[in-house]
Amino acid sequence: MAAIGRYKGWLFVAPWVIGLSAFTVYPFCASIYYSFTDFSVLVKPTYVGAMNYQKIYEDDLFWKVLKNTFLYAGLSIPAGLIISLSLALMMNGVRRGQALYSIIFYLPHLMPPVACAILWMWIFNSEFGLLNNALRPILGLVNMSPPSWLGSSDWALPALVVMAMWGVGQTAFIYLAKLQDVPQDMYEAAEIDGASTLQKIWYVTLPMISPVIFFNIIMAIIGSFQVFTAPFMITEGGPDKSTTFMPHYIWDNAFRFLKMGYACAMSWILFLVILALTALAFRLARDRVYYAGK
Amino acid sequence: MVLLFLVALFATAYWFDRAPEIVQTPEQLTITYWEKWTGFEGAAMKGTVDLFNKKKIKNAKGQVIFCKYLTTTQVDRKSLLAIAGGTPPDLCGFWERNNHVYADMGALMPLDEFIKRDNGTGGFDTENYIPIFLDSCRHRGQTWSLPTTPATIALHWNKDMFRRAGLDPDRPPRNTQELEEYNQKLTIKDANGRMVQMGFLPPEPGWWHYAWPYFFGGKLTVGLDKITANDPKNIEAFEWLMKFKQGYDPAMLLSFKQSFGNAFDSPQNAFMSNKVAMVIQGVWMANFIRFHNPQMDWGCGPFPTSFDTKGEPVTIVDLDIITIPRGCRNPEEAWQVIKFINTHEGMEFLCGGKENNGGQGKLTPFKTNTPGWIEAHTHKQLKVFIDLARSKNAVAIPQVPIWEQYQEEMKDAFEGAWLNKKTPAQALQAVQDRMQPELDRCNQIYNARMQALKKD
Amino acid sequence: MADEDLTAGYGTQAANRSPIMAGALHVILLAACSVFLVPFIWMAVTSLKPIDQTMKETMIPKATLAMLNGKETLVVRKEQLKGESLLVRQGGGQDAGKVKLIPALFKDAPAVVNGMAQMKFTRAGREEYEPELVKVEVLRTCPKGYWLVEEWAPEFSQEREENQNKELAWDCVPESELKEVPHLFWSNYKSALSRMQGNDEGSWYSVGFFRYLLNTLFLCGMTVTGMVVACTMVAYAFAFLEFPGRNVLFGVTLAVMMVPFPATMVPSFDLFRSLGWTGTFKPLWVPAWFGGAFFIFLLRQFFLGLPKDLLDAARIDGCTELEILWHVVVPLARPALAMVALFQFLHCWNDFMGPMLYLNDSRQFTLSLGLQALQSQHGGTPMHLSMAASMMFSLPLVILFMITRKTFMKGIAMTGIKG
Repeated sequence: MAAIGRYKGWLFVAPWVIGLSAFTVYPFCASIYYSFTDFSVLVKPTYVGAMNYQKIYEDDLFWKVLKNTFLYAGLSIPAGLIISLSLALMMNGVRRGQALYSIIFYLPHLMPPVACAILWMWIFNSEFGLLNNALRPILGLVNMSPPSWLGSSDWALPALVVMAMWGVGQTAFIYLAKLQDVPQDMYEAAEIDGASTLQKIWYVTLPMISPVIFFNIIMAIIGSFQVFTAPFMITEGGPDKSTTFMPHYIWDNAFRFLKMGYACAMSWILFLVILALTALAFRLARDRVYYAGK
Repeated sequence: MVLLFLVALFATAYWFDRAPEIVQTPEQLTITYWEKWTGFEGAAMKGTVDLFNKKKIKNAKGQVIFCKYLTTTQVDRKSLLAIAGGTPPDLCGFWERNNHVYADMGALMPLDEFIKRDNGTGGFDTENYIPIFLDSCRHRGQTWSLPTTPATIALHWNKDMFRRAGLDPDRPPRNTQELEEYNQKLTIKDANGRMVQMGFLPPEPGWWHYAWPYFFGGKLTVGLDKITANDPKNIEAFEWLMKFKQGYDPAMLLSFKQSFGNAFDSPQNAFMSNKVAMVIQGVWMANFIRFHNPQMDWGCGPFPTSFDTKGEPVTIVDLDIITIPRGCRNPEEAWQVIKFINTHEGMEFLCGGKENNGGQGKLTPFKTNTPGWIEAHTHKQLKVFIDLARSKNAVAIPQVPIWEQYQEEMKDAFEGAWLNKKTPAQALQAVQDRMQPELDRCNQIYNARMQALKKD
Repeated sequence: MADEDLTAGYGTQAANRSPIMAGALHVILLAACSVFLVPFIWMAVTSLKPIDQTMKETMIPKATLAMLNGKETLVVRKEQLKGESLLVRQGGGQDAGKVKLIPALFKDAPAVVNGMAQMKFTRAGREEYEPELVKVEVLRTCPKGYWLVEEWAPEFSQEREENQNKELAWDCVPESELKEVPHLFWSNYKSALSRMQGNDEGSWYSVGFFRYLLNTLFLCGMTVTGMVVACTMVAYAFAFLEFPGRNVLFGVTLAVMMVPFPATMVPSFDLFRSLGWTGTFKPLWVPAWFGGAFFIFLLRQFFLGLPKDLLDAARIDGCTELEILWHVVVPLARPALAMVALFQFLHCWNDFMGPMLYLNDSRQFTLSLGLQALQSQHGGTPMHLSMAASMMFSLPLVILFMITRKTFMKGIAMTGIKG
């Protein structure tokens, strides 16, 4: 009984293992193989060794795209974390209206990407967009004019980060659900000890919801390196390739330029990057995430 | 209870989720046609397919050929995967830019046998074509596709804006020098220095950044194996374009044109909302002007060049094409559809048939059209585009297999130069340095493949 | 004990919040709300505007009303008369009997002389002059500044065969007789629906919006059920069962999420093609029954937060793992499971890539593909129709979200059940 018991776990995860192997592992291994070939989907792959990787190293555009991707992640992960957590904490702090607030913050996720794209292009339009119409008078006071967001290769990326912030509703929602989990008696104990609100948040709330914070950070890392739809539709990777991120560049190489082998090599590199960062996150979290159930 | 639910669920799935079967009967053979168009363009194409079906053309086995038209998003990508997987449709509607690349990869069936056999019958005749259109469908000596709807590009200008600026509305700029002068007169700023209207804005619409060199007598390639991105005339062209942003913030100009991001089919498009006086656009522009600003008094003519074209204006020729993918199970029947579309009857119906609600509003690839067709066409200035196609200086898209990437690189070069990140010379040199090795490699692979095939 | 406190509901901190603090929080939240809401409101308002107002900042769509043929009709301003014009009825010529508007002066001379005038007619899209002068009856004079208005009918196209002999109602009216009123263009929705149907013919439930809706619901149903069932089992194993290789497998699970999708597209397509599943829905829902990395991770985190003593108690009672899962964990984790269901539903509803790749026949399309029908080849989108379609696309989601939200929030009774 005990012997079977140890392998019971495998029974439970069996469907996942099968699905994993068939739908993810196999394709990924296939694509790793392709990364060492010259493959244009229609023509059979021909082995070329590490040539693709060599070319990646020499490809200026690849490094630019990688830099863009890191920049985007570096801006959107912390910003997203702070904003969604703040929203969740605020929602948790009021007795009424939580229902309404959470629905409203979640709305962006319910809109189709096409509509979102058009919407944001309008808002960021430098001539008659909502944002600049609001900014112009303010900046006019210091004799500056607002940037031409999507037309400028310096400001397009930040514009995309702002757009991404609009989607924090889902994360805030998850935080809120977990916040409701924090037992009342912990707060009471803290208050007895004379803790202020901020101290309560720092010493009680955050540790109690740390598994979810950790989860969301991991998701944010993985997600921000795989952003595709928004830049694809809104800026089409421009201007001057300033909003081209890795997934988009991989996509172009795979399906437009039909350099599948090259694209697979880049995918593998991207994968390693994300893996490294996630491993780092896990390492840092080991001492900081508190699992209440254990 | 849960088990029951799951069983019911799977039963529903089984019933609901069946691939729509195409059943071939002894009376009728159904072939599938994947095409890109939606909206009125899609309706025009479907109308043409319906016309074909009405004819009830029979194949050798006596079956009536029925063509099923399917609107497909990203038809080129989807077809590529289907062809690679061995389950392609019978007909694919692609863009000209796919022709050479897919042909080189062996994705398409050559049509030469069919053309040779049926030339001169049933209204189909290769002599009918304005040569450049037929040549665009050929690659490395074989014909891989035939046109569905051709297009050329021209200068469009807003006559009212010309009048207001004191310019003769019927006399467009004839060379690049004049274009610059017209632009000066037509660009107006308000008291705050904000742009009210512009004469000419190179980034609008931003689809033909590879075309500019041709108006300066430059070229992008020589034959199939040489890239000439850094040709001095190309650099000259780009430097000329950069003049239009002098004195302004280039990023601001880029957003000026954006009009809600490529929302071209909208009354807010820069040209149609009277914000830009002159624009380079294709034959379809008339349709959109008709939809969104029918009051506009506009004209079109050859885009100005830097050199004397001696009556043979420069234009870029672009096509939508129809092909038979490799692995098609019914090539003969598929050919019948292609052939029909490429007769006067089919093509005129598709490109501007009155019975077809005006068709797609484009020109046909033929030298002449049935009398009265042009008169009944919705495009009031169609002759301009037809003449452009017949010009000796009409340019077809270079046939190099790396065209998609090259096109993208040219766009990047333009934007980089426009936003002052690089000089035109640097930008184009970068393109040259990147593209020549790519082309070499592509050709190398192709030759290797051909060698291997010959050996078999 | 503290049972009432636990189920009292929201914000365990809220009870002790001072009113000023609460008020301040509300203000900030409301400000944030407006930022989040503005785009949605814009989408809603744009969906009710006529196309020429779509990019303007007017929040309320306006329509112009005029009296045409004695009836108050919605009209479009066609042009403002630049000079005096005459409303005439032709007595002869090609368009005999028709009423037309002609400028009062024709080449600096009165247009109508002795009841005769030079008229134009349109045939086959071309405007031509009548070969001879035509007898006309002057009905009315319209001074400069009047507006030529026409009945508003966006779907009417003169080019259509059936409309060859029809004409929209029109008239010449002074500015003062035109009324600008707020008007919601609900017809946009109808137009959007017919555009989505495109060139397909069939009954209302077999093509167009409703068919796409049906397809989408089918897919969502299948994937949601599959995901919930599979991920619960797997997450349970990761959280509570010890088995060799568990950590490695979990690591692989995480790694899976890091694989960029273009890399796996081609091999996946090949796999499904060799199974013969392309052209059906199967590639879209079958993988869901094997679980998904994101949800497994999510559920595992939640499960880890559950008190273990309950499970231990159940084990001591001799329950099998499955029974523990079904009777102990699932009830406790219902909010988390509901969350998984909702997120998966949303993901499936919005999914575009999958259906685009694997579905061929337009009768199988999902809503996200149906939205594509509103975009024309040269990158254009009729904004008002696109927004109308997007509203129809989003509204079911909003309703769903509103209904299921309570399941997550209320009744989280898993905590504090300790002594």
